[in-house]
Amino acid sequence: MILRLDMSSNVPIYVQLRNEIVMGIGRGELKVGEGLPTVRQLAKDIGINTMTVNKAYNILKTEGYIEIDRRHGAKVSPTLDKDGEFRVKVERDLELIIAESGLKGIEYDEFIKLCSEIYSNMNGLKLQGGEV
Amino acid sequence: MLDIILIFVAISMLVSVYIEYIGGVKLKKGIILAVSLPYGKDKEKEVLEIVQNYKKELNKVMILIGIFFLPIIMLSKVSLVFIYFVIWTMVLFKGSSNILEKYSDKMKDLKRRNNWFVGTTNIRNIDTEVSKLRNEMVVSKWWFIPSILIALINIAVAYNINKSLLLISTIGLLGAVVFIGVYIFYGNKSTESYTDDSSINIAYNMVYKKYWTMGCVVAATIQSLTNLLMFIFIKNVENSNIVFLPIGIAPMIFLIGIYLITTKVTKSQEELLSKYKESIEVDSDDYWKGDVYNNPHDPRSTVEKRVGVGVTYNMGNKKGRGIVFGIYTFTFLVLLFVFIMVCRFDFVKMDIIVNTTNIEIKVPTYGSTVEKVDIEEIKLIDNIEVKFKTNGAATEEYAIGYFDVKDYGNALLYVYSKEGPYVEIKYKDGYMFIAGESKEETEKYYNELIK
Repeated sequence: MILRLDMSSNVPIYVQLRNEIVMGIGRGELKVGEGLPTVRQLAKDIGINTMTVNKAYNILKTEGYIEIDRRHGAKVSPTLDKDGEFRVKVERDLELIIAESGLKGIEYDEFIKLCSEIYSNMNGLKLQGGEV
Repeated sequence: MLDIILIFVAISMLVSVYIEYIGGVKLKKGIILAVSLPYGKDKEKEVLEIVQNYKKELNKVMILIGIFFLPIIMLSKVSLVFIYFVIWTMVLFKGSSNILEKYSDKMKDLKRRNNWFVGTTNIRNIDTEVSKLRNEMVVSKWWFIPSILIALINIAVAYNINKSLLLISTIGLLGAVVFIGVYIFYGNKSTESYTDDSSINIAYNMVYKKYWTMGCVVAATIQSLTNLLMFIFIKNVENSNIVFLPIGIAPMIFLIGIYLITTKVTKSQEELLSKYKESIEVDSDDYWKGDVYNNPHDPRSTVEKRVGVGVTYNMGNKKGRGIVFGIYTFTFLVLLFVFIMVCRFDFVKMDIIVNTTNIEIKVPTYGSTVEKVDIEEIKLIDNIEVKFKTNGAATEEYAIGYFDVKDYGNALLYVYSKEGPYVEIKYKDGYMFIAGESKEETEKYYNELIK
């Protein structure tokens, strides 16, 4: 997949990297079980410190999107949210987005339609359902 | 001889700078005169006009700079030749760079007026598939073993011929190390991804990394071989001009090699990108001033040059700036050191002091003292034939230091004239030859010495 990083953005590079990889998995551009570049490889290609990439990888690992193996490096391995902790986070985030959308004039139906469109375009989610 | 070498070097420099800058008129990855243009706009009348004018001015200035080199032949002192050459080189580099900047600015103006904006700024596209394969794109480092082995044989051969050649013979090894450094640099360089198609991106980076790292391996091997050849010649060939032929040929091979690799890589990359219409465009024109890159948002310290071969440093980046200032400072110090050295040889006169027990010869760097009891013989001879320099300073006018002299072997020379006679001193360490600027001076030294 192509990681697109905005170098002049206020969003830190490690956050952008984390988001890009999560979206890549969701869209199906990164397959479950697929290996990611090593920290060194990625750092050299972006031209940043290995610590920055390491930080992104560690976040992805603790959040349960990838697995880091000493020998084989990082690979895509999403885990389901079993204790409902993530659900709380999504609810909170959605509240803000819905409030913003409503205030800007996006109607209920339109919002739901948008959500369903984006969700159905996430090719990585369909494949995964049974596997995890 | 020095004049011929200088003119040869100057022509090589002029031609390579010209090739580099005239290459800017060719559309390369959507870039012309260091400005990125939207697809097809390079055929616009106004663009072609700017390109034409750039060509004209570049041709004119290059011819002028070439003519401006000629007065160097009339300079007699090496120090003056040196300073003239340095200034000429600076004028050549700065002049050509300035012309590019001027026309690049005109092109940017045109682009702004027509609103030909391409793509986004400051986005880095990284293909994870390319990143994963980046270590396999380079030629194996083990291919450097032959060049290192040859360089070591080199040192052994040189040591066998003459111990004093040991220092020069390490240049081969040093050269190999430099090329390994360049190899590591190309290996570490960031990959570039211009399409959504990973297979094209992989091929695009593969051709670049493979050819350049292979070039480093070949260059290191050639470099070691030519050095070895030089020492074989030193041992077996009488003519001193032929001895240095391999050393002179090596840079020519490198230049041709660089040209060939650049053409091959650019052509392959262009072909790959042309297969894919929708390339990801990134417009970073605002961060280019002519051929200088200054982008504080780009974390890379080196980027591909827009015009010419190789890479340039990102001046908006601490590391990039550091490297550039480092190189400038280093170059300046080396030039200053060399300049002071040649000045001393040029302007400090030789002084011979005959004391009661010894003879002191005072010259810059290579001065010496000989005890009178060690002297076996002093005589005047008409001619000596110098084969090559082992450790010393030599120009058309003088030869000071250690030289290999025919029939005498390694000897100390304090010679300020090409015509004889020479004072030959045989002492316990070998031979020493002295000659003043004129026949009378040499005879004066001789008379002082035999007292």
